[in-house]
Amino acid sequence: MVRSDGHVTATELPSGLRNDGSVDSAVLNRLATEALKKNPDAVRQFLLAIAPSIRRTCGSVMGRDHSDLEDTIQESLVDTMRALPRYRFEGNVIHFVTKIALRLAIKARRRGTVRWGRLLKLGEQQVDIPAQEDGPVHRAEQTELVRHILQDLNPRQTEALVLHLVLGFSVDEVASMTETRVHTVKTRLRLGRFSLKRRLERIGQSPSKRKGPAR
Amino acid sequence: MNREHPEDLLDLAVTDNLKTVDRVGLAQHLAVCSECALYMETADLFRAERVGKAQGRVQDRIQDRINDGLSNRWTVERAMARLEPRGRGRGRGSFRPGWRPVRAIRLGAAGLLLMAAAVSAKLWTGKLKEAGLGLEPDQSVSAQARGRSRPSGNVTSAVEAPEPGDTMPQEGEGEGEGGGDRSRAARAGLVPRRSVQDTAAGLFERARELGRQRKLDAAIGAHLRLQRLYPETPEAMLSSALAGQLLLARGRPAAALAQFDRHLARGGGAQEEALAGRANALGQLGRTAEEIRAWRALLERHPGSVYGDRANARLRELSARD
Repeated sequence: MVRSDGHVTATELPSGLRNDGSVDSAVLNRLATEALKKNPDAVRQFLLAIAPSIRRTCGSVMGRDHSDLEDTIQESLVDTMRALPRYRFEGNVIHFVTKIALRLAIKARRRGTVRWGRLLKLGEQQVDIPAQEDGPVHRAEQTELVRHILQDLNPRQTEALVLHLVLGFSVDEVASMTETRVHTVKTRLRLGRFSLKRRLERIGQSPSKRKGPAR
Repeated sequence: MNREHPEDLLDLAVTDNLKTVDRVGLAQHLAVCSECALYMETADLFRAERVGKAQGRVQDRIQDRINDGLSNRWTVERAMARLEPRGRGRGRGSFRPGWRPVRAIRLGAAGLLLMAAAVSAKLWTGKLKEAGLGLEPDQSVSAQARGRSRPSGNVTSAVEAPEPGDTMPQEGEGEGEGGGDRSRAARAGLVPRRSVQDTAAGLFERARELGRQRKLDAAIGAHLRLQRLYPETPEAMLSSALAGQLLLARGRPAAALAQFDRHLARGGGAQEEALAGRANALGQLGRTAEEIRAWRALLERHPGSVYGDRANARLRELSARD
C-alpha cells in the first residue's frame, strides 16, 4: 500500500494462498465479493490474489520477455475490476479472470505481428533446421513460433488452443470459460490442431521432419 | 484429417492426468499420428515453460518467483492508481472502478483549451514581431553551439550531474535571473535534456526493461540512480528489493544484502520477497547462522509464504550440515 508520505507499507496476501502462488477458489470468491464493495484495501487484496494467474496467462500467450507484458497485465487487472460488477459468481473466478487476460494478451500479441512477420519470412527461406535441437534456445524459439502461428488462426480456434495447449486447462474448463459445449471445444481443438500442423509443415518445422517417428 | 483422434486421452495428457494404463494407448496413437504427436510435443514445451525453470536450479526458480512477486505488487499498485479516483470532490473510500464519461469530457475540454491557448500565443507572437518587438537570438550561445568559444562557467556547472534529492527542472524553467544560461545552453545542446525517463516512474520502468533484457549491470545502475535521485518515492522503495535481486543474480551478495536491509528497514511493500532475498544473500555469503535466522523470520512473519517450501528445505539442509 502506498502511504501519503510515499512509503509502501506491507500488504499481506490473503490466507488460502497455496505454495504455487495460486489462491483457493472459495477464498478468491470472498475477496471478489469484498472488492465489489469498492474498498481500496479489498480491491488491492483481490488484485494481488489474481495477479499470478494473470501473469501466467499473459506470459504464456505473449512470452515472458515480451516488452508489453507488464502493461498487458496491468490492463487485465484494471479490466477485471471494471468487469467484476457483471460477474455472476456462478463459476470459478479464475476462469473469469483468465478469459479477460487472454483476450487482452492475444490482442497485445497481435500488435507485434509485423516484427515477427519479418522473422518468419526469413525462417521460410531456411530449409534445413539447425542440428542443435532440444536446447533451451531452440525450445524458446519453438514456443515463440507456435505463439505466432496461433494468433493467425481462426479466433475461436486460437482461444481454445491457447487455453488447452498453452495454458493447460482441460476441455471441460475451456468449455466453461468460453461458455460453449464440450463438443464444440473438441471440434475447435481438432481443427486448430490440424491448422497448426499444416502451418508448421509449411515452414519446415513439423516434429516428424525434425525427429523422425513421433513418440 | 478424418482420422479418429483419442480426444479424451489427449485432454488427460495435456492436463497431466493420464493414467499409466492409458499411456500405452496414447503412445501407440502418437506413433502413427503426426498431428497428435505435434500437439503433445507442443503441449510439453508450453508446460515446461509454465512451470518456469523447473528443470533448472532451485535458486533460479526461487529467483523467478521473487521477481514475479515483486512485479505483481508493482503492477497492482499501478492498476490501483488507475482505478482510484483523483478528483478533489470525492471523499476517501469512494472507490469507483469503471469508465466515467465525465472524465473524458473534462479531458476533451482541457485539450481544446490548450489548443486555443497555443493558437493565441502564436497570433500574439506574430503581432509582436510585426511591431518590431521580437527577441533576437542570443549570438553568444549560437557561437558556443558552433564551437567558436568555450561555454561559460554557468553552463559548465549545469552539465554536472545533479545531487541526490535534486528536483528535476522542467523545460523552460528558470528563464529569469541565472537560469537563462542553463536554458539557452540546453537549447544549444550543451546540457543533456531531461526526458520522461528521468522521472521516478520513468527510471523505474527503464530499470525494469533493462532487467528484462538481461542487461544486469545497466539495470542495477538505473535502480541505484533512481534511489539516489528520488529516495522518498514508492518506486525507490520497491527498487531496493529489485536491485537486491539483480545484485544477487550478478553474484554480489553483500551489495544485495544492503539493498534488502534497506527495503526491510523502511517497511517496503515487498517484505516477503525481501526476506527471502536476504536469506539467499546471507547463504551466498556463507553466514549460516544469520541465514537460518532469516529463513525462520520469513516463516514466522509469512506462514503461508510461497517461499515456505524453499525456506523449510534450506533449514533442513543447514541443520543436517550441523
